[in-house]
Amino acid sequence: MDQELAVQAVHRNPSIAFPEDGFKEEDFQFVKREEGLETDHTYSGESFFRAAVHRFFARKANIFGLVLLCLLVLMSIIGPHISGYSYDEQDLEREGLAPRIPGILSGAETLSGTRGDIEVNRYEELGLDDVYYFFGTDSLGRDLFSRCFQGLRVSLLIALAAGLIDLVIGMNYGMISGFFGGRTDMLMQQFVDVASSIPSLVIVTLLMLILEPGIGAIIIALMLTGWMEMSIVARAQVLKLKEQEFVLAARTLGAGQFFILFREILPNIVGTLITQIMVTIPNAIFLETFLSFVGLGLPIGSCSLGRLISDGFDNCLLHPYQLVPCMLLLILLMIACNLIADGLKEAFDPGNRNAV
Amino acid sequence: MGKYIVKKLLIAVVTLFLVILILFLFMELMPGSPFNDPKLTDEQRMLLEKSYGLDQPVMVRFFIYLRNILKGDFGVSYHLSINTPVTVMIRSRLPLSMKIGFLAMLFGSAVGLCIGFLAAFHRGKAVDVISMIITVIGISVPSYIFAIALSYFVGFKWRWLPLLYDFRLPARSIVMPVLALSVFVMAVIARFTRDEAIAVLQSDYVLFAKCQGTSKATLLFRYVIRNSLMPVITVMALLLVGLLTGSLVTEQIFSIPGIGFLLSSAITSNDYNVVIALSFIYAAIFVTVRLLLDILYGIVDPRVRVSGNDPV
Repeated sequence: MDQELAVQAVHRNPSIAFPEDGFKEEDFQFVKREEGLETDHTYSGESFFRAAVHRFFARKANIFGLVLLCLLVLMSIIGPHISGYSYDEQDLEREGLAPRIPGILSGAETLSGTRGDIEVNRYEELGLDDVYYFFGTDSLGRDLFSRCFQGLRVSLLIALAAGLIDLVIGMNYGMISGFFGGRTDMLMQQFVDVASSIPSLVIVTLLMLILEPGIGAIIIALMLTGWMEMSIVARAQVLKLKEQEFVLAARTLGAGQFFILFREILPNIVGTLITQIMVTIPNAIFLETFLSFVGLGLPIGSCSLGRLISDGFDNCLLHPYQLVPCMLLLILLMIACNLIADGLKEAFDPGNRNAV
Repeated sequence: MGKYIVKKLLIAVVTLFLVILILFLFMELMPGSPFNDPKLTDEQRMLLEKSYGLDQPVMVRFFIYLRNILKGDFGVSYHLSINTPVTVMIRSRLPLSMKIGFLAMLFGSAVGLCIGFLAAFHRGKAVDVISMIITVIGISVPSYIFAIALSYFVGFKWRWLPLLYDFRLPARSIVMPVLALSVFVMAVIARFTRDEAIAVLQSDYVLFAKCQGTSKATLLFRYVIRNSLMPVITVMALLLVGLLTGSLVTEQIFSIPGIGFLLSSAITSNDYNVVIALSFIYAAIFVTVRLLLDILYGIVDPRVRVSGNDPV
């Protein structure tokens, strides 16, 4: 009750509450109450990103995906150097050796033929006693262990390129289209409408025919087709935010168009954009393996997961082990990327009913 | 509504025209010619080019080509089966590819819907977790890896089904390709169905129906399943793209005489007309399906046709 009176007194005469010579330190008294002194977890002021990170790490599947991806990245860096054989060193004497790991695999393999199965150990036939190829060798005697991780490196490189293309082309295109609206938006959207109606398979196929096959050609193909989804996502996000009060406030304070777009709006949609990048990346990795398998991707001498799968498929009825490790690596990489993408989608947009 | 459909139709026509233009330009830029046999003399090559009309200026050839496409004439094959009209080659191969794609879509959707609804009704339980693992694997693993695994185990090791396409056993030969292609469809549909069904289950009208004492079967069939089915249609366009790309590799793995296999062999042998015709057919299928989906959405959801935006 007396608190209310005091408030009324202050209203009548503000100088009571605000002395003219200002507050002094002794005007205040530190109230130390031990009981009830705790961090409020229920309503703690958690920043958006911190909350997203919490949500992300709260799910085991996300952590699994992240750890898996980190392991794969690590192996792509050190993997090609572990076995001591380089990825492109050929030794025709040692072609078609089965995997041999000390204490686990003996290097024997079962060859299935029309007249039954026979078991052979080519290591013993060749007198290679202390030689270990962890994943075996391919039809040219190259170490598959080094080759697989070298291939993984190429796939990750393509993933990186796809992410950058998303950021540089897709994000800017979508944001500018959404922000400026009007005729700009209409023209830019008509273009995307038409361009995305052409199946990317057709564009990519034709492009690979014109260009010299290689990573460069795949990256150009991604530049032509890979950014559209991102631009649609970025545009939708900008459209949602540009009418909000903080944008109006910035405009009232005299901020320029690009300042508002990239300094005010961008930080607010970064989460969705990161999620979209993680959705694009598996598609790009798949594109490379797909193209290499059809014979349009990397040239035969080179080494990528798609190339390895394609080569392994040619021999898979006789030596299935040549196909297994590279296929497993691809599957693990795709699973890791997809898990992370799902986790990010949920973490940045918890209310979205389409999130898993 | 009429304006909306006309607009979408116009976009589809412009797209197809652009596709033809792009295809034609790409083919102009392509290295090599169908007649790059080193044994040919210059005169012989010129004669060959003249007989196929390749000596005309680019613009003239484009308009001749456009006119022919409108008449349904894609020219003749230069290399794969010489002088056979491309239309004939495609007509004999398209039904098989369509059949496989259609069956894969049907089978994948059916299984996917079941898995999705089961997971949604048992949310958070073991069924849900298992279905989640299945969908993550189905989405992550490319269809050709399933195709290879199936052909190795079922076709080669256990010899249950023909390893490669067998003309004498057409029905048994397409079992494996259909299975391999349907995994992705199944996974995507299952995931979408689950999310939609969960959203519907949490909605107020389902709660209201429950409060009214609606029987469980009516609730499921009249409210939940019916309302969660509509948005699933959107994913169909995405899945179609998956099937188009998937068919290329799957047909190669199982040596199926369909258009996917035809396209990949035409690419490797520089058979221009076949590549253009098939790319056009792929694009036409894609554009048509998108157009149908857009119109369907306009009918179902009035907001779409008012704003003119694509359904998201």
